[in-house]
Amino acid sequence: MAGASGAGPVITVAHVRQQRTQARWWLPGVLAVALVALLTSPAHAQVQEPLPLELEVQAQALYESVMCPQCAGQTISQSHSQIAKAMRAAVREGLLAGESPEEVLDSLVVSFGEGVLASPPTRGWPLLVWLGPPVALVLGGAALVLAVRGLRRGAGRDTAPAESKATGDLAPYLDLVDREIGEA
Amino acid sequence: MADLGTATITLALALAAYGSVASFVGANGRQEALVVSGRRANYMAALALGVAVLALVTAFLSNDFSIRYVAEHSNLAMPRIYTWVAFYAGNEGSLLFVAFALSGMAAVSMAMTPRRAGALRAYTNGVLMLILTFFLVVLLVLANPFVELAAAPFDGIGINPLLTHPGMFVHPPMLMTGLVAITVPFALGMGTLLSGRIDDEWVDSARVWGLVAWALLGTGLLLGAWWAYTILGWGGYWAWDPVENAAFMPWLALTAFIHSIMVQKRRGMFRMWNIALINIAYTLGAFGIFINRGGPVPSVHSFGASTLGWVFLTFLGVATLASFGLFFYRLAVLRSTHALESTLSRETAFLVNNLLLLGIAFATLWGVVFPLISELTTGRTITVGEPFFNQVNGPMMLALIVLMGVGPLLPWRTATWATVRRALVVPVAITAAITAAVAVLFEIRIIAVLVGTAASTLVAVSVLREWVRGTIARHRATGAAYPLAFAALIASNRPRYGGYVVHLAIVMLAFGIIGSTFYSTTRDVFMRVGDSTTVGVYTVEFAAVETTTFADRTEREAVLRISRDGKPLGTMRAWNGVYPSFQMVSTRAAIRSTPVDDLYVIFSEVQPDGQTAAFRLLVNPMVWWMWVAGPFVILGTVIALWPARQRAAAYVELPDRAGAGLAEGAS
Repeated sequence: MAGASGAGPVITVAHVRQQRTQARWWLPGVLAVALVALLTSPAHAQVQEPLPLELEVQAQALYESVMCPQCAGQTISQSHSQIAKAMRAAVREGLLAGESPEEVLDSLVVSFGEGVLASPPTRGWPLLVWLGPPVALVLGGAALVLAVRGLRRGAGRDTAPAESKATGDLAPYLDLVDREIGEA
Repeated sequence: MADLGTATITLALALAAYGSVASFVGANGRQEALVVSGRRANYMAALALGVAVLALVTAFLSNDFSIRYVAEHSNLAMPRIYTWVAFYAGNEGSLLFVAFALSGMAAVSMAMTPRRAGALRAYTNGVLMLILTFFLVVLLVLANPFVELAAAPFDGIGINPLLTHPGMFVHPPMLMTGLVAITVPFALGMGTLLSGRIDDEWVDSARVWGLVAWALLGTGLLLGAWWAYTILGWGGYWAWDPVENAAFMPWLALTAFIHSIMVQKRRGMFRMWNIALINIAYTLGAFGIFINRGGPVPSVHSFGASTLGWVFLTFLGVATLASFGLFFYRLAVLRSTHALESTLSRETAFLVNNLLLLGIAFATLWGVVFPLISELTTGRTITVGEPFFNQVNGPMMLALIVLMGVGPLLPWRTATWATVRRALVVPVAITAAITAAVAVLFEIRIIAVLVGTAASTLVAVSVLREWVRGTIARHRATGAAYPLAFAALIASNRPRYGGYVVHLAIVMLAFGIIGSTFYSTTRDVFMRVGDSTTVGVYTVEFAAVETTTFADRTEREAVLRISRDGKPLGTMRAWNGVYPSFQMVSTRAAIRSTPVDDLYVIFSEVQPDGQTAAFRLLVNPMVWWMWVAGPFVILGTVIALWPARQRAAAYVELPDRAGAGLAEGAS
C-alpha cells in the first residue's frame, strides 16, 4: 500500500515483512515447546481440577485479554484450537503457582510477543490508539459548536425564497401535528 | 448451465454499462428517450442477473460438478436445503449474490422514484449502473462462478460445516444485501449533486432506502451475534472482529443518517451534512466489502476471503475520491434553507446524536486500521481487540442512550430551559425512582451499570408515557377503544413512533449487553460421567454421553441434569461434532434461556476414555432480551417505512398559512 509513495516506504515495508517472517519463524518453535510439554505430560494431567473461584474469575479475565496467535482475531477464550488450549493451561498453571495476572501476562508477552495482548499498552507509541478516539470526539464537538453557531448566525437572514417545496411549506403544519400528538 | 450463466452475466454487464452511459449522456443533453432507455437497461440487467442466479442454483441442484464452484461448495451428501447457503459460501457465488442484490434494488428503487424527480432520477440511475458495472466486471473477469473444470469429479468437496446452521440462511445474505443497499441512498445523494438541483427531492427516497439498508445491516448483525452465541461456542455474541466492525461502522453512519435526514425532511436543514453522511456511510460500506473480500486484517470470517483485496481497495479509493470530490465541488449550492433558531432544540440533539455515532464509528475504524499503521510505520505488532473497543465505545454508547431518552422530549426549532424542565421532570423522576429501586434490590455497585440502567429506563419511560397519554387523549376525543386509539396514535406519525419502537428495542439490547458484560460468570471444568458442579445458582450434573458415528463426522451429545437450590429443572443436551476431513470441531451449546439469565453449556471435548469431558459453563444474565429485540427492530422499521397517508391532518386545526401550505404540499 505504501509502496507507491517512494523508496523510503518501500524499505520500511520490506523491513516489516522481514520482521514479520522472523516473528512467524520462531513462533511455531515456542508453540511446539508448549505443545510438547502439554502432550508428554501423563494423560491424566490433561484433566484439570477446577480452579478456586477467585482464580477462575482472574483466569477468565485473562483468557479474554490474550489473543490466540494463530486463530485470526480470536482471543484464547474464544478459540477451540490446540494453541489456545495450551495457552489457557499456561494461564491456569501460572495463577495456581501464585503469579499475579500481570506476571502471567508478562510471561506470555515474553514468549509470544506484544501482539498477544488483546488490549494495546497505554505507554509509548500504542498510546496513540487510545488517544485517537477522544481527540476525534473533542475535534468533532468543536466542529459541532462552530456549525451550530454558524447556523444560528443565519437566523436573522431571510431565506424564504429558497424554501423547499417538499417540506418547507409543511413545516408549520408538521409542528402542529407534533404538538398535538405529544409534548414536543 | 455454465454457458448460460456466463452469457447472462455478460449481457447484464453490457446492459449496466449502457444504462450508465445512456443515463449520464441523456440527462446531460436532456434527451428523454436516452434517459428512458438507460432506466430500462437497469430493469433488464436485473432480469439477466436473475437468470444467472437461477443457472447457478440449477447447477447446485443437479450436482453439476463440472462447474468448479459447485464442486468446491457442495457434494452429493449435502441436503438440498443447503443449496441456498452453498450459493454464497465462497467468493464467486457471494459476488454473484451481491451483484444480483444490488441490481434488484437498483431496479426497484428506480421504478419507485417518482417521475417528477426528472434529472435526479436519471443521474441516480447512471450512478447505480456505474457501480453495478464495476461489480459485474469483477464477477466476469476475476471471479466467475461458472468456470468449468477440465474433468468433472465424481463428488464435490462439500459445504463448510460451520455454515450449516439456521442463522447462516439469513445472516450473510442480510449483511451482504445491507452493505450494497447503501448504494441506493448514496446514488440518490450523488444524483442530487450531479443534477445540481438544490432541492430536497432526494430526501424521501433516500430516507426509505437508508432505512432499508439500516434494518438489513442491523438485523444481519444481530443474527450474526445470535449465530456466534449459539454455535461458535465461547459464550459471547460480539467480539469486535474486523469483519463485524466492518459491517458495524456503516450501520452507525446509517443510524446517524436516518436521524439527520428527518431534519432535512421536516426543516430543510442539514443539506450538506446529509450528503456528507451518506458518503461516509457508503465509504465505510465499501471499506467493509474490502475487509470482507480479502482485506489485510485477520478475521474469523475468512470463509469468503479472496485475493481480490486490491480490486476492492481501488474501488474504495475511487468511490471516496469521487463522492467527496463532487461533494466539495457542489458545496456552495447545498446551503440550508432554514437557520437554526435555537441551540436548545431537537435539531441540535440530532447533531449531537450524529457526533456520538460517528465518534463510535471513528473509534472502531481507528482500532481496525491502527495495527496496520503500526506494522507499516514502526514494525511493531499490536493487537487492538475487545477490551479496547469496550472501554472506548462503551461510554459513547451510554451517552447515546442518555441522548435517546432526552432528545425526543425536546421540541423542534426552539426550546427554553423552562419547557425542557417541564418535559423532563416527570420522566426523570420516574426514572430516578426505578433506578434507585433496581440499584438497591440487585445491589448494583458499578457506575456504568447504574448510568446504563438509568438511561435505558429514561428512554422506556418517556416513550411509554407519550404513548399512554396520547392513547388516553385519543380515547377521550374519539371514544375509540384503547387498543384502537393506540393503533390510531401510532398510525398518526409513523416515522416518529416506528422510531420509538426501535428505541425500545435498543433498550432491550442495552439491558442484554449490560447484563452479560458486567454480570456473566464463566467456569471451565472437566467432569466424568456422574460428576456434578455448580455455576452461579445452577448445579449441573453430567449424566451421560451419547455417541453417533457418521461417514463424515462423529457426533456426541452430553446429557446434563440441571437443578437449582435442589429443585430439578430438567435436562439439557450439549452437542459436539468432530469432522476429521476438515480437522474441525463444531460445538452447539446447550442453552437454557430465560428473561433473567441463560445457563450456557459448551461441550468442548471428550477425553480418550470417552467418559471424561471438558465443559465450559456460563451464566449470562439478560441475554434473552437481545434476541427479543430483533423482531422489534424490524417491526419499528416497517412502521416507520409504511407509506403515510394525509389523513392525520383531520385532527389538527390549521391556521390559514399552514393550511395553504398543506394544500399545496398534498397536491
